[in-house]
Amino acid sequence: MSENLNWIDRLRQSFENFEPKVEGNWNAMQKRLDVSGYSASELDMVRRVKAARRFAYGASVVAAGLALWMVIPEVAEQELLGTELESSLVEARERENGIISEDAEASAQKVHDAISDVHPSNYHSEGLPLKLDPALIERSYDAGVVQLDPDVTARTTTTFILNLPEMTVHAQAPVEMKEEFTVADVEVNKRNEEGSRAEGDRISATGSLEVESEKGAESANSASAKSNLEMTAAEEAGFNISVQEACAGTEVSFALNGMEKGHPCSGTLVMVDFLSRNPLLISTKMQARMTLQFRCVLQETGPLGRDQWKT
Amino acid sequence: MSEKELRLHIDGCKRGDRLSQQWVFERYYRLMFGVCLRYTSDHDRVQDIVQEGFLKVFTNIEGFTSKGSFEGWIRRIMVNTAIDAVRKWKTSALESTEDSELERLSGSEEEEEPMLADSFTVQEVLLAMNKLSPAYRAVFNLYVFDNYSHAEIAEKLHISVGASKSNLAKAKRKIRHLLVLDLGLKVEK
Repeated sequence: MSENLNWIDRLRQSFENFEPKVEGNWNAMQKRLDVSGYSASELDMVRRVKAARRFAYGASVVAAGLALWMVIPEVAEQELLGTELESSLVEARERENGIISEDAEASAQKVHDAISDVHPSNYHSEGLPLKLDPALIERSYDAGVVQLDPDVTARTTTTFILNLPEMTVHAQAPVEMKEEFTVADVEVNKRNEEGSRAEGDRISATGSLEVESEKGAESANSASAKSNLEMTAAEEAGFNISVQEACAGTEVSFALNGMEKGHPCSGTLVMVDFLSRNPLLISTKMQARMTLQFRCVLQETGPLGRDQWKT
Repeated sequence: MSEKELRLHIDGCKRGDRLSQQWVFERYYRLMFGVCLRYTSDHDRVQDIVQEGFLKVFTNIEGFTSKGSFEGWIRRIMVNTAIDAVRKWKTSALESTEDSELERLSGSEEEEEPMLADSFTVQEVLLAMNKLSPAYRAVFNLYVFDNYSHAEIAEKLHISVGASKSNLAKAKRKIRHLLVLDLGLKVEK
C-alpha cells in the first residue's frame, strides 16, 4: 500500500537521467546563433552598451540633482521676497489705518519699493498719470483695501493729499450758464489702470476750478463736429493721446464752491474712455440739488503747471 | 565531466566562444530533449523548443551567477520555453479544465484504487501523459517533475491556485487509471 501511495515518486524516478537517443543539430544551432548576432565581439559590444547605459543613468540622476539644487534656493528666495512684500503691505495698511502713526510718505514709499522689487517692469511709476511726487504729499487720511497682485497689476489705495493746480473746465456748447467755481476738495480716484500702474490712488487736492457749462450741450450740431471739437480741445489742453490713455478711467470727485447758496453741488468727473474713437468723453454727474451731465475740457492754470498735472 | 571543466566552458560561453557553446549544447541536449518531451509528444516540436531554449541559454548566460546548478538553470529555461511554445500552438489550451475522458473516469472515483506495478518505464508514462489535455499535462509536469509550487504554476499558466490544485488532482487520477487500465500496469491480487 505504501508503494501505491508513492507511485508519484516512482514516476519521478523513472524519469531521472532520462536522455532519449537523439542527436542535437549543432550546425543549425550555430546558424541561429550567427543570425542572432551573438558572437564574442557582439557580446563584448552588448557588455559595453550596458555599461554605457548605466553611466548615462547615473549622469542623468546627477544632472537632475544639480538642477534641483540650483532651482530650489531660487524658489525659496522668491517666497521670502513675497513674504517681505506682504509684511510691508500689512504694515503700510496698519499705518494708514492709524494703527501705526507714521506719515504716509514713508509707508507709500515702502509699498512702492516693495512692488518695484518684485516686478519692476510692472510698475511704471514714470508712466503714471498721477505721479506720486513726494513733494506734493502732505498727509494721509484714507485707507482702503490693499489688493496687490504683482503678477498682473500693482494696486494700492494709499491716499495722498496733493496741492493740485487750479483747473478750468470748458463746455463745448454755447454758453447759457457760466459760473466760476472754486474747488474746495478734489479727489482723484484712478481706477482700472492697465499695465501695472498703481490703482486706486486717491488724491485729494485743494485748488480752484473754473467751469464754463451749458445746458443741452449734447445738442451740438453733429456728432462728428462735436468729436472734432472735443479732440481739438483735448489736444490744446495738453491731453494728447498718450496722456489720454494714461488718464483713462480716472475719476475726479469734487465739490464746487462759489455757486449760489441755493445750488451748491459736488460731483465726479469720470474720464470714461480716452481710447475710444471719440478721444475725449468726460461725463460729469453732478450730485446735489441739481444734476447735470456735460462734457468738459480740463485745463490747469494753477501754480504747479501743466507738466505736473499731466503726470 | 568535472566541475572545473564545466566552469571553463561556462566562462567560454560568456565570452561567446563557439567551442564552449558546442560543448554545452552537446552535453545537455538529450537531457533537455527529455524534459521538453514531457510537454509535447511531437518530436519536431520538441526539437524546435530545445533549439529555442539553447538560444536563450547562450544569449542570457551572463545572467547565470554560478551560485546554483547550471543544469537546473538550463532546465528552468527549457520548461519556460516549452510552456510558451505550447501556449503559442494552442491558444488557451493551458487554461482549459475540461476533459471528457477524465469526467468519464471520475465515475469510478469511489471504487477501490487499483494497485500499480512496482515500476514502469518512461515510455509507458509518456504514453499515459500524451492522453492528458494540455492543461492537465502542464500542471502535472510542472508540479511532479519540475518541482513548481501551485503559486508558481498559477502565475505561469495564468490560472488560479485553486485551478492548479484541481487540475493536478484530476491529472493524477487520470494518469493512474491510464497506467492501470490501458497499460495493465497493476499488481494482480
